[in-house]
Amino acid sequence: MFFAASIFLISYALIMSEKVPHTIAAMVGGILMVIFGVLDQDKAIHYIDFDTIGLLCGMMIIVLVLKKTGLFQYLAIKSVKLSKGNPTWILVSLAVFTAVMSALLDNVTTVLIVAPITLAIADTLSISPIPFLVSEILFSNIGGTATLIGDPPNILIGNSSHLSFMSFITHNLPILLVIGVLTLIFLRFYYRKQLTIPVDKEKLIEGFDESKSIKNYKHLIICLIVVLLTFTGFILHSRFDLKLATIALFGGFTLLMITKTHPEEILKDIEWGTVFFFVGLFVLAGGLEATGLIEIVAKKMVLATNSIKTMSFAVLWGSAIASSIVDNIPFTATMIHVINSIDKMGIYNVQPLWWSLSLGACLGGNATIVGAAANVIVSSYAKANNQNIGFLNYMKVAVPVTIVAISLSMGYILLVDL
Amino acid sequence: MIVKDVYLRDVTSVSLNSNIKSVIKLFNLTRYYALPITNVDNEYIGCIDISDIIDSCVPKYMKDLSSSAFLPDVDMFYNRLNNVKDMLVKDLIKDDYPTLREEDSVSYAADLLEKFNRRTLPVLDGKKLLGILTRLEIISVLIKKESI
Amino acid sequence: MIATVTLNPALDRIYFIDDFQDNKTCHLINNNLVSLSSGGKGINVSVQLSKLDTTSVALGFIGQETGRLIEKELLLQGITTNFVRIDGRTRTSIFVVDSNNQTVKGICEHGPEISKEDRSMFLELFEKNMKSVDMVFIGGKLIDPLDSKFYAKLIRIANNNNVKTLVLPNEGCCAQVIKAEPFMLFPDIRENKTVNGVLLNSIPECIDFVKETYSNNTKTQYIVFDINKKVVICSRTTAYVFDIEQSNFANLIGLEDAIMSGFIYAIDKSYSEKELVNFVGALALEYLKTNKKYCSNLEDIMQRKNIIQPEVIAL
Repeated sequence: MFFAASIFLISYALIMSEKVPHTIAAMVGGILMVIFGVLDQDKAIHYIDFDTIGLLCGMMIIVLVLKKTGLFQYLAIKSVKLSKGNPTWILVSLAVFTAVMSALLDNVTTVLIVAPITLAIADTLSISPIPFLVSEILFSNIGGTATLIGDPPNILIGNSSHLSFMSFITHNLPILLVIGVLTLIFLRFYYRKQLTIPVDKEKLIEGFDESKSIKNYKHLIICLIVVLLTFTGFILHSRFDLKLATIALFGGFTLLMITKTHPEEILKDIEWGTVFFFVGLFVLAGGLEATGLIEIVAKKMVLATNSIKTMSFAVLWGSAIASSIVDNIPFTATMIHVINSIDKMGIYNVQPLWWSLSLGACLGGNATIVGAAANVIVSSYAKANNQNIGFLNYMKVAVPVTIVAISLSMGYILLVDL
Repeated sequence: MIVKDVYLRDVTSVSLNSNIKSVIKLFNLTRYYALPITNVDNEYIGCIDISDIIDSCVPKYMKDLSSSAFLPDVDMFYNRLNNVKDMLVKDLIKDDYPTLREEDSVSYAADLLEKFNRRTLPVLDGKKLLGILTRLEIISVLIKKESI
Repeated sequence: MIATVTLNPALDRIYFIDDFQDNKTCHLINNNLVSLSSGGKGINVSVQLSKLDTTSVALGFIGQETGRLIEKELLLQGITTNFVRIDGRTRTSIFVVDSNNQTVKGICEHGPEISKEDRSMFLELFEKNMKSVDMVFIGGKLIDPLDSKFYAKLIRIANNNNVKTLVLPNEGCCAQVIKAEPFMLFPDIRENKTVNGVLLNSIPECIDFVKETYSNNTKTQYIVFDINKKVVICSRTTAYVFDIEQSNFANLIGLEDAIMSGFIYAIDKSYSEKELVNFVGALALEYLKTNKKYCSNLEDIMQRKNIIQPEVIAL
């Protein structure tokens, strides 16, 4: 047990400190669990949730193929053009685009698509891209909370809790819409000085020709059909008794087949680092669970909080705070085991705990620039293009937004789940 | 065939403190794609490639857009070029420009041009610049050999 | 390593026409009757040296297509080039050689404008090159704003870098040049027989001039004259006189360049004073014998060098 705990803590520390790439820290930690006999290889493999891995890979393939068609760029520009050059509406359209894309695809891909476009638009209109980039960070996390596939914590939760794809949408979407609107109002107020375009540049938006983004219309239509079918599959998966990984992988490889894409071309761009990170994490967290440490923690939690209400709020705020400081994926992976353990005790209905974890872990990542992968990516991307968002400057906006979001979530869970 | 048989013995060069405007002018007059850089003691330092200048004028985000064709024409490239014209050669060059010696084979030179995606390579004798070898000179070997 | 400087190069077009008449358009029957070649003292010396298997780097100004043609021709001959490229157009010189009437008619363009930037770029380039050469030849026509002071400046820069300077100035800039103390001086007295206001009509007058000059400076080691069908080479102690048969009038155009090349070759090979003088004399005579712009029969030159006997006058 001691071994397990130390390996776990050291790996965690390395992941947090970013001295070692997180993939390597997680994998080495996980393998050490096996080497030191905490788990045997078979048991280690048992802890790896291939449903999550399969879903991740399947979605990555779909996104990579879609990206090649230029569809995302087309949609982004089209939505910006609706603003007719009004900076507030540009802010709104980019935020909505980011949120929707984040809900359907992963956050990192979404921001990697929208950030260059944002910089191009800002450069052309001679305005600062900072308000838009900050809004995109916030909305990538807000949007990602809406669906099972939108954010890695939700993927982990969905597969462990057996909550369905639709249930995430029906539960989280309403509160997220409220949070989104309030966030936009706040951003509009906070950045009111930067959200002005020189008069002569307003008309330039009309010069953006989104049709030039589409490289192959035929491909695009085919891709859209397959994607639509895949998402239909997600919505109806429980009826067919099919797991999400199956649907996602089927969608992805069908796409490759229909578009006659060479598999290597796409497969080489899959974020294998992320995949192995998950693998390592599963084994690490599994090691802790195998030793019974998780059970001890779970019992202590139950004793300390005394009621499901208190526990929910503790999980909500705890996840939010943890998420803002450290990577929310390892935290979520561990908490899942804890919640499962509480569930096994049979004392409470743990559903509110799942929702608390979902909302806390996903929204909490908004608070700091290191809170989520998408945040870090936007920030370093901006820096590489000579635009500095700034650690503290970001927090000035993001912390109030996150506190309001979590508070509203607290109220919502109280109302709906408890 | 070795480099000695084909390279151009033109040692036109710029210095680390030459400004980009003068370098662009020289590219225009010489029609070369890269210019060697020499110090005050006439020793070779490195090379500045036309692509170094172009790279500095294309914003990084352009490379990440799947297509930048949607952007309207606002003379963005020209404006950036204008901003860069007073910068110095030393601000733009990248390290590790490949070089050749007279004794190297033409095959090796061709391979080097492709591997490093360059159009011009400097020919050196230690730190002394002897001339340049361009892609045009390499393929013109065919015409030269046939005319012998 | 050797450098040559041609401040105002020219593309020479030479037409060989038997009986070139006034008021008549001459249609050449084939392209062999016109020759296109690079011209300019420094360039000529570089090319002559390449015929003697000696490499050099050619410095100067070139511009536009005529300039590019010159550069291309030099590169093809294995000469290293390091020209300052200017906006203006390198000049063209046209000569009509009429062998029937034994005349040569010529038109030399003035040359392009050299801006201040071009001038300073050249100085920077010249200084750089002086770090890696042992000898530099500076000669030929000057062009505004590159005046005699500029000439002298170049010599001083070379001297500061311990580079031997060999100078073939055109008339008028001699005073400044002499003050700058080049290693070797070859004033052009073909048309205007004065140097520094001193009339030089005979060999004794030349020798007096040389003595006077040597008494005022220490760095100059050789002064050369081409006067009255003779070549006079004066070291610090001795004057050597060669008789030259001016059999081929056309070849007189390049005799000075040949002499200069001979000097450079001999110094490069570390010849003694006597060997140097004999080599230059032999090269000059061989040059006059050939009917070409350049002399390339090194063997014949070496043979002649061993038998040639100049008149020797102690200074």
